[in-house]
Amino acid sequence: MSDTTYIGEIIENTDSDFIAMAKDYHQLPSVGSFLKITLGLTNIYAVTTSLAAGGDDNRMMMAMGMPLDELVTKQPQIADVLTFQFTGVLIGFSETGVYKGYLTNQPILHSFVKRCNEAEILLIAQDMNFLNTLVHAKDINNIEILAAVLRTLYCLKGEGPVGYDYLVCAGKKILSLSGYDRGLINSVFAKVDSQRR
Amino acid sequence: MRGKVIKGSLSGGFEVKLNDGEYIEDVNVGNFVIAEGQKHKFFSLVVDAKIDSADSQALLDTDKENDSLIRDIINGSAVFEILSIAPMLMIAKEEEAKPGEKRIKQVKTIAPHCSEVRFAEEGDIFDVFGMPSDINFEIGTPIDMDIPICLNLNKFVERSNGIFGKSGTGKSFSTRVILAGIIKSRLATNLIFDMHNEYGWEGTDEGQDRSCKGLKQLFNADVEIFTLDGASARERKVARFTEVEIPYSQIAASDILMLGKELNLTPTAEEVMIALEKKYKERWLHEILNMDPLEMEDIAQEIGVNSKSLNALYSRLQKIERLPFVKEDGRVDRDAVDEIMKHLQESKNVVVEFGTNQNLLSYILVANILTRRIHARYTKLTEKALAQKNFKVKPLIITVEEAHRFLDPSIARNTIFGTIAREMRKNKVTLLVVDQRPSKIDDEIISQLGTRLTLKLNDDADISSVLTGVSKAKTLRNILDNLEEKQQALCLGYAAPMPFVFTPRLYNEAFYRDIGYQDFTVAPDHAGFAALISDLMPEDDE
Repeated sequence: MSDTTYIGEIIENTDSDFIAMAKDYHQLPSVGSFLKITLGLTNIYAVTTSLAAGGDDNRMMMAMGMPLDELVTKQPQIADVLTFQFTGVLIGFSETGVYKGYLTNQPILHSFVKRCNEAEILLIAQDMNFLNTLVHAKDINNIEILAAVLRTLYCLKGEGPVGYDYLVCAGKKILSLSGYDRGLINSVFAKVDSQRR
Repeated sequence: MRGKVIKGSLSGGFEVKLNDGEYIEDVNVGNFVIAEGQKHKFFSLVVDAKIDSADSQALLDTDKENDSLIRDIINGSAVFEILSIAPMLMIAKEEEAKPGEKRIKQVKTIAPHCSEVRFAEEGDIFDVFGMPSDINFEIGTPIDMDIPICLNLNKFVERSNGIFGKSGTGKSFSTRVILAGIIKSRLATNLIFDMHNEYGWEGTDEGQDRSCKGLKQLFNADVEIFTLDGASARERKVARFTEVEIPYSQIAASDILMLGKELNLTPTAEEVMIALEKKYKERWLHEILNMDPLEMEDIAQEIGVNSKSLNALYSRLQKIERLPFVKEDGRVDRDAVDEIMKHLQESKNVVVEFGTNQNLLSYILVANILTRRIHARYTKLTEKALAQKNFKVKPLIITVEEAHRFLDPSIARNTIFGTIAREMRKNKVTLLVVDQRPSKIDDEIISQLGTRLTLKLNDDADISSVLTGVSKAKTLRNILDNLEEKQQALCLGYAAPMPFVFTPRLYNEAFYRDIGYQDFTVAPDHAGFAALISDLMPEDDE
């Protein structure tokens, strides 16, 4: 019996990232959310880096004057034409509950992608090495993704002194990883800060 | 405090970056810290602190100063605090110590990059300064620590030493503490010229305006008080004292020359006095003070000096004649030097109080006359000791306040105090120089002082002077500049394994008890009384 809790399926991948097609546009992950791909006893973890949607390559998309849900209800064939994709950058893996901030193998095509639960996110967050990947990954919006990840972690750690201290540690780590790029710190935490207040 | 060595050199010391979560304000200049090398602990002194950054622009970016999150992120990472520490000694770690080799050595190498740095702990302090004992005398506590720090009195009494500090910094209290330590240790005898009657019978606590015990009250039979003013001593209820009277014949021309400023002597005075001394020998002062003014011209001609100069000297010397303790030879009952020497040879300590004669004229005159003659006696004694192997001379320490008046560069070479300071311990006589203007003391003499204990000084010249002939003077200067106004001192020199800043020990009831004082005017409690009886009449063991 196939697993129905997945939100996407990998349709393209490299050593460090992948593209997945969303199972349902209602369940698209947000940028900066934590993902996992399970291969046997191993969970490979990733962070969502972008979202994209497209239609029939032979026909130009056009405005229909109604929300997507209403459009799909009135014209069900539209759902078959529209595709929703998301990309993820790989950050680490776990085996038997122990998280490692590096990769030993990559997900394979057609692997299912799921959301991480809170416990898994906190497990990943114990080790700040995932920030290294997010700071240095090419062709992604590093600022938005880092800010989104930190907002999530701040909420999970608790919006008090524990969460605040975590943000300070993460900020110091990002500063060090970025060669003391204060511009990056200011931009990222301006977006975390607005949420925090 | 925790940090890591990030930079350093043998000559310039180490730079230490504080670990995350550590506060620079918890560290003070003068704190002891340990840099943990692989094989040695580097016992160091915090000498400076500064703000630095990985990116100089970060220092100028203060726009985010109101955002506590950004500030907390930047602090300690992009912008951080650096401590400059001066390694003073290196201690071989126990597992690395080689048999037969000293564990504590002078610093000859540096701690590796990223060596952990922490505050020194009790064990580290005792490793370096030793545990308190009679010889290893507790003089206070390291700053921000509550453990004793000690001075090696064995070494302290070997050389001349200095206690410096501007007025009101606790100089007299520190001097009293050290003198009490030396008396208790019995390593040397003391001759103390007590200008303000602070050391002998009873002193006053400047800050709290109450009396404190003098050395006589603390050590009773081990201390003898001599005074130039019996009436004052009686009024102050000094238990037992001997009056000092100086006969004219004991005052040499060289003694008067030291009083140039006080007597306003003319430049020709020296020439006239030498001529008088040549003719009349030790009666020269008697002769001039009793000279008939009508005969003055003839006498001047006879001894080959200008009569006006002789007349001027005669007028100036009237001040000496008016001193109540200076008397014609026939009116002096006993020789004070004989009496003082008798006590010193019995290993007693002598305090010379000045009573109401608290003027520099009296002080310089008496200190010089007594010291000159006592030094001569000690010179003979040490010669005797050299000849007779079984004869030993106990070192004598002469404590002198307002020392710059005796050791001024213009006169230091000719005075007995200059001689004592320069000859070190050759004749078993050393000085304990107490002064507030060390810059006015001859540099050569300052550099001969074995141990210097310095309280707050404001004048740049005084600070430079105290550091004359000291290695790492530049780093220590910063410490001296930042001493507290009161109750903080820097000790450096021969009796200390390394320079250290400390809070001097309080001279109070607890101190009296620690050095063995018992107040017999207070009735003991029952338990104390029973213990006393038990000590006096032990029961037979059956």
